[in-house]
Amino acid sequence: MKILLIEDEPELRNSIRHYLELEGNVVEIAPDFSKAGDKAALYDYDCVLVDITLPDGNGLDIIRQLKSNKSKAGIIIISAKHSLDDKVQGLDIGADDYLAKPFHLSELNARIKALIRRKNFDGNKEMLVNEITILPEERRVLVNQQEIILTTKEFELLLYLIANKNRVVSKSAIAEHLWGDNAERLDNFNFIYTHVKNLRKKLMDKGCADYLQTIYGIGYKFKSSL
Amino acid sequence: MKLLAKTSFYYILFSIPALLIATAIGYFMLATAIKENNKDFFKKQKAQVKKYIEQNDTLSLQVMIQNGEAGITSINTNSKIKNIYSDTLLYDNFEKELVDVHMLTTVLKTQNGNYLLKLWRSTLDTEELARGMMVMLAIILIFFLMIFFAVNWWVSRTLWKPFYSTIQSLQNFRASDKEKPTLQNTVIIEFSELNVTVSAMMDKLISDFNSQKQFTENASHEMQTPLAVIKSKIELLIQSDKLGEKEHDLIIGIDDASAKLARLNQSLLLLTKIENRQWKTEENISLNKIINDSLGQFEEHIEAKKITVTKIFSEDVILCINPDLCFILVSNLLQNAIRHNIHNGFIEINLQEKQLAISNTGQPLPMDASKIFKRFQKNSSSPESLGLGLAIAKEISDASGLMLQYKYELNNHRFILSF
Repeated sequence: MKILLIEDEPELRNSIRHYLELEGNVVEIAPDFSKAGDKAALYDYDCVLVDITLPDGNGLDIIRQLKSNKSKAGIIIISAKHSLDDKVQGLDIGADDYLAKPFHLSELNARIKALIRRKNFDGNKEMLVNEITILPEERRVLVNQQEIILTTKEFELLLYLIANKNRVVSKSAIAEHLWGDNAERLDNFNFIYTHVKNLRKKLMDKGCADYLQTIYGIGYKFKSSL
Repeated sequence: MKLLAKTSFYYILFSIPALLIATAIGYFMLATAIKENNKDFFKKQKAQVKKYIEQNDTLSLQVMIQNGEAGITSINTNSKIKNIYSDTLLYDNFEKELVDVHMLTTVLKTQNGNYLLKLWRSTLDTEELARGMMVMLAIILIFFLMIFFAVNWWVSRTLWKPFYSTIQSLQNFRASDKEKPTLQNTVIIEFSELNVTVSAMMDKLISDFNSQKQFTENASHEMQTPLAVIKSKIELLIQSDKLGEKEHDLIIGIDDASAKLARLNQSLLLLTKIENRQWKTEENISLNKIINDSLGQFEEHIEAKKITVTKIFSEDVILCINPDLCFILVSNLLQNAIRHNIHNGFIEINLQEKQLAISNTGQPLPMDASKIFKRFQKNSSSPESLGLGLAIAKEISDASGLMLQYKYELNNHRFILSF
């Protein structure tokens, strides 16, 4: 997958690039508005990550440019301007998703995947990981062609871990993904443990291998090759 | 007490003795004048009597005595009686009753011998005069007070009008207002000076408030990028296979702290945004749906604490409000009801057409109830709380034209949102 990353902060740019490249994506970077405009005009991307506040321009204009060029790229706004109106405006002019800084890289990755999946109209919408088949639209999961019944949170958790497969996903990232990033967050970490435990049990009951690894203290990892 | 009432009170307080003294002086002066007048009268009478005696005009004397104007007795002794003035009672032949009289007893020396002469004049007239004067003064007093109140009323309506209007503007003024109110123009120097001073103070308040807000906003914005960098580096770091348990513990510590910082930052930004009224979209949304969605977020927590949730919902309650803010508002209230609840406690959500009431069991407040919506007020028993949830809820309700109140009733905490 080819991704254009428009972000002016070098360290954050490096982190995002690093994380996404681990997945085998090609990540091109644009540190400012003019370079971003050039790249967006010259090449086709599957996904464009746009920071709204750039030193020499507004990221929203790049989205407008992409849209007027009839680009098929999925567009995700990554912005420090956590303003409700920015979000509304961004989505109005054609962005597909909005992620406020600071975000988890795993969350960004999951959003990119979900976006590509949605965009990929004619393609196969099934997700296959070894013996697990996920039908995201129908919110169904099959293990060895047998359906397993998951709760909403278990389903979201499985999808999230698979989107970031072979990567350690921190508990705080999972908590934020499942419960939203509410300011006055209640302690969710114990519930993550319960959900993972139940999910693992349901998967293994149908003969699935134990892909869910617990990384001591930090989080979990879906390891696709044991 | 109003300034005008107070001044009136003092006016009356001081005008009563002043009027009384004035009355006393007036009475005294009048009495002296009457006395002088009596003296003149007696002098004339005496001269008249002397003339009659010397002219042997007995007829005229007889008439005088008959009319009860004088008493004349012939005396032999060369009495040393001088003029004696006295007040006494005499029987009036016409009125057939005793009357007060002012009397002069004197010795009249004539060529025809010495006489004891008594002359008198009824004091009834002077008493009536004094009484009349008192009545007049009382009327003046009443009239004076009436005029005084009328003038005060007029003064308060016209002269003090700019003053009261300035006070009104001050009462309605908030430092968060974008513009200061226009104060009423006045020609009165004191009031116009007051207005200038007040106006300058309001300008200062607004600009201080704005720069403080600006600072919070800028600081929070600037902090988001480094926070994003920290967060992303932690995520990359945990991918490493070379970390031991010790390193994991360190990373968790950093992750928790940075997550808390991020949430804090985000909450402060949210608060600033609400204060700035920085959103435009408002739409009709069903509060029933928002509450149900929000409850879904907390199902694990409700279950873990074994909290019984009772929902008393009236039919679809529709509010015109920003949906994101409304969700934050409701979920902050519910979260609060869960966080500060006890095991096996209950939450009652009562949604009516005009209000939403969320009651929950819980320990009594450790702080004063009036501080519950203040920022960074937190219960030490929940260290993970930032102490901003209710402040945000309050801020959202204020900004959205709703009213949020807290009550502690029958050992239950109760939050009432009226719309």
